[in-house]
Amino acid sequence: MIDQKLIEQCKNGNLQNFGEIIETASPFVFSVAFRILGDEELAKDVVQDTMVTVWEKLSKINSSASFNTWLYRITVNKCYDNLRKRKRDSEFRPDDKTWAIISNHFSEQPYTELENEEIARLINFMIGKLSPKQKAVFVLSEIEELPNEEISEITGLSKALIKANLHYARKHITEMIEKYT
Amino acid sequence: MMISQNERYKKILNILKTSKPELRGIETIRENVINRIRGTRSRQSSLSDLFESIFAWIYIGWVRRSLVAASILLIVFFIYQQTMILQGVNIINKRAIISEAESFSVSKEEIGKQLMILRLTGRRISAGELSITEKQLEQLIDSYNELQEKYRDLVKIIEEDPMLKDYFEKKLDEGKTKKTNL
Repeated sequence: MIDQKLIEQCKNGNLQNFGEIIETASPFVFSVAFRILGDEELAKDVVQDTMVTVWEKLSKINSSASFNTWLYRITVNKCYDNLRKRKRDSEFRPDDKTWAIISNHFSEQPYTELENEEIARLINFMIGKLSPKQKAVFVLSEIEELPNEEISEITGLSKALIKANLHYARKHITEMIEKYT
Repeated sequence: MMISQNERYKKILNILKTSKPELRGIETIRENVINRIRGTRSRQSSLSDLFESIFAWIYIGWVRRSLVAASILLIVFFIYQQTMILQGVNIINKRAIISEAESFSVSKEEIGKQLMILRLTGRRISAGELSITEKQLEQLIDSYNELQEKYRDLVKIIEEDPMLKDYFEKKLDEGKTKKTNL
């Protein structure tokens, strides 16, 4: 959580303090962007773009309580921009490395943490073929475990659309699991 | 042991939840972001500095802003006016070329015919209606000068020859009496 005092100082143009916000918020932004995009370098670009936008629009923030939702919204929008630029990925076919990741982690209890490269492979395997909205809804709802009200605020989608997108995403992922595991 | 689809889905989801992507090189990101912000700031400040320096002598904010707006409007109006004037000049230039081309296309015979019609109808041409090109004016002056010179020569010849002088005087007198008779 970002301190309200820190936000107020940044509103007055204090770049030094904004450095602190960058260090606190960047890992969080990176995590969301990486899970939506499935690419480390692209996620890093999104982090930079998001932080520049945060600085430019910081005056709109009234309380630190709404800062996280606002940060999510900027991040998701930057991810949308990034996904629109790329062509829709063709269906992902797991290679040997992806097979190894999936089979190893299915047998392990408790699960060991994955490396960035492994996470990227798994993300691309599961949600590579989904639309940008479906990807965003899946990550926010299933991985970040946000309530539908907050997802609606972040994405601008109605609750019914969120449910529909999530249903399609789950169905697609289940089909992929059935097909390849 | 076979596991259901739902369990597989949950397992993969758990793997993803527990594995947080690690952000490497946060220092570089911080540096890049701050540099980008500084770059935008300096671009914005150079523009605002220019306006500040022009209207720095006004301390009331809204008056300064109104003056900036008014000066921008004046510049826009000036550019618009200049464009309109230039367009007008271009149109006038084209018109001059067309009328000159028209006047040259008329032959001497046609001018003669037109003059004849005017003489027959007894129509008077007002100064406003008469249009003449520079070249036609030059031709008119040249022919007038030529005529004057020839007239001078003729008078000289007549004065030098007394027989011819008497003859012309007689003829002129005859002409006068004829006119009075008419």
